[in-house]
Amino acid sequence: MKYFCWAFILSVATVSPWFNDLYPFSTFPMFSDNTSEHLILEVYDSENNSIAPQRYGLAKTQLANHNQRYGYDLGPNYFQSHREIEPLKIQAFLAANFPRNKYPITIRYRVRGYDDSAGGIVNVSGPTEFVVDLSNFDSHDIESGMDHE
Amino acid sequence: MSEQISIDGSRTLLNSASTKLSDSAIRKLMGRGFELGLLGVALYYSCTATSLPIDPGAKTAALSVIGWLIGAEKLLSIPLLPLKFAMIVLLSGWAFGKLPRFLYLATPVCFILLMSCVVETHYFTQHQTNFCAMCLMVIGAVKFIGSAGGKIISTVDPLPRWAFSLLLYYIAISYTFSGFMKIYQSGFGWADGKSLMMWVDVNAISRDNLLFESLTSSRPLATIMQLTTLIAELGAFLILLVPKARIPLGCLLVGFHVSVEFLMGLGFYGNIFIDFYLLVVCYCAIDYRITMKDFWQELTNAPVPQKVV
Repeated sequence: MKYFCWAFILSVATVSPWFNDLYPFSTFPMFSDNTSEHLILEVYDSENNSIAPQRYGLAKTQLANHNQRYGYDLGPNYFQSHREIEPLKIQAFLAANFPRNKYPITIRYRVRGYDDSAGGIVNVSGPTEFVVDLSNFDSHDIESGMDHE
Repeated sequence: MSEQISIDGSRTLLNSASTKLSDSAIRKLMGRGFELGLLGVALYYSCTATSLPIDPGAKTAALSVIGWLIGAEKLLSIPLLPLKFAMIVLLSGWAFGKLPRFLYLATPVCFILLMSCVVETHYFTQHQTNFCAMCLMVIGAVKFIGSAGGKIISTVDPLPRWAFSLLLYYIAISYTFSGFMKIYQSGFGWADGKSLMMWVDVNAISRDNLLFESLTSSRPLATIMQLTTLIAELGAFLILLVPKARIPLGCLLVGFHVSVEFLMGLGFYGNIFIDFYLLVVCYCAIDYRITMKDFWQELTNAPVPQKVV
């Protein structure tokens, strides 16, 4: 029994900080970051059915855990290289990484954040909505769009 | 005179016997209560466990100890339904005290296996069932190893004090880690109220209640709640050092979990039960007022299983 006790005590004290999250060991890192803005992004198909944003590489990791451990290769993500949402850049990203998705999708987003003057959480930007249709997409559009910017 | 002594002596013996009996009965009751509550929580988690449809080829790293040991890809091939069924049978058998000794060890292993399958199919780790899994492991090991050698049915009843102290150690370490993670990642500015308001605003399951309205409209209240959480988590190691700190810390931690459940519904029911039972109920009801010194003594004098002749 002593061996079990010592194994338990040592494993809890060492495995948890070493691996951070290796079930059932954990340092319980959730809600440890300090965010004051949160992007809410939703993707819909042409019939207004909701689609998970991660299917288009548009999921942004921002929820309460900086050191999230992933068990998967999550694939390309728009937010790895971009901070802001810009329709042309999103279109270019989708064309480059998800070229098979020829159906138009609607992207709705807004940014919630703390506002000192309001003393609470408000829409810092948005809600905004735009349609991405890769079937009519030409990569030259991006270049001309970028130039225009 | 001798009759008087004899009467007094027998009364003393009787009183002492009744005190011992009631103490033992209370300890038995508390141990049994904890077991049944824990089994109930484990049953709930087992029945509601769901996995996500994923492409096994996309797996890059293990998120559980079992996945790390045998390979996460292998875990993904295990169907959940037989494991759930096994858990229902094992937990029922445990609740009625009809399990062969070795199955007390098989129950937490099966539970951790089931939850590891669930965790491995998610993109990131989930923390709802960690406490429940660890408590099942400790109690299961106590029933398996602590029982007299050679007995087929476990005879550990009531649960020994050191088993409870081992659980208290786990609670203390876990919450202290969690508090340190907050300081490590965000500094003391973590408790500025803004982040709590943000999480509640984004993740609220119900917006028509006083707590939601108060928290999202009052930054001082949010700051106080975050500060209280930080203090309770950072101070959780006092559970081991100062027995009297258990009730206030237990109340704070339970209050924190309950308000999170009420606002966001994340499913930390196991933590609520375990914290409340071990830190508040047990302290009030029985003599588990173990200090670090007692814990050390209990641990170094823990019984060694007898050899089967």
